[in-house]
Amino acid sequence: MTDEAGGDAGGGDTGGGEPDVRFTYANERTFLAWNRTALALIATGVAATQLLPAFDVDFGRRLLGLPLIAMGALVSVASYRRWQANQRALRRGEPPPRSALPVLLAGGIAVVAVVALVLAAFAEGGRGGG
Amino acid sequence: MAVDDELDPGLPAERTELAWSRSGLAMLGCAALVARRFVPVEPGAELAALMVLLGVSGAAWAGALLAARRVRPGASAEPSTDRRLRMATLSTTAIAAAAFVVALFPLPD
Repeated sequence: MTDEAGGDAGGGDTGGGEPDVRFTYANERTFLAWNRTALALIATGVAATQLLPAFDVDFGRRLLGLPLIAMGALVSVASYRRWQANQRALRRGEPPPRSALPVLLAGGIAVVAVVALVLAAFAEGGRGGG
Repeated sequence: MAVDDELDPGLPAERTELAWSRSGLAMLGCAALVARRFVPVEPGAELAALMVLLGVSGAAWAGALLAARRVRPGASAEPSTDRRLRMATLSTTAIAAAAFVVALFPLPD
């Protein structure tokens, strides 16, 4: 990836060669995969607030859904910026920049999972509660 | 990889095209899930409204894809790609904003 192997389109120059088209496509697909992840987070958040039976705890469903939706918005914007940074690195023939996005996503999902576990264990009820 | 696709840029392009299709479908599904909340009409009419909405946005997505792919050979595709990605990001954050409202004020039932 760093060496621009086989790229005859002028990669590896200082400022602005056109990067190998295969890497450009791969970068685009990576963005799209992140974008779908964002959409999945949003859809899951909506489903959690609309489709789950109510917990005994007030705001129980929203406690699960709203962070997921917020994470979806964050991932959406962050993935675009990441695509830009990757594209810049490709033009300069540098390795792709490190990104905190995977760690943040994993951490966020883990936190939501723990909250869901606590809610499921201690706030079960469904029928009666609000 | 059995085939060296260095000489055939069609394969990566095709994979990317398919990824766009998947993203379009995911976006339609997500938007439909959110839009359901904003269509407070009869169940039958709700379905019809949703079908129209999905049809129109699906056609718009397909049209945008076709238009954006018409890049002159030799010219850089990056500006057009950048526009498309910005459009996708904008749509996704708009859906997220609508979803946030939907989640904050769920239907009383």
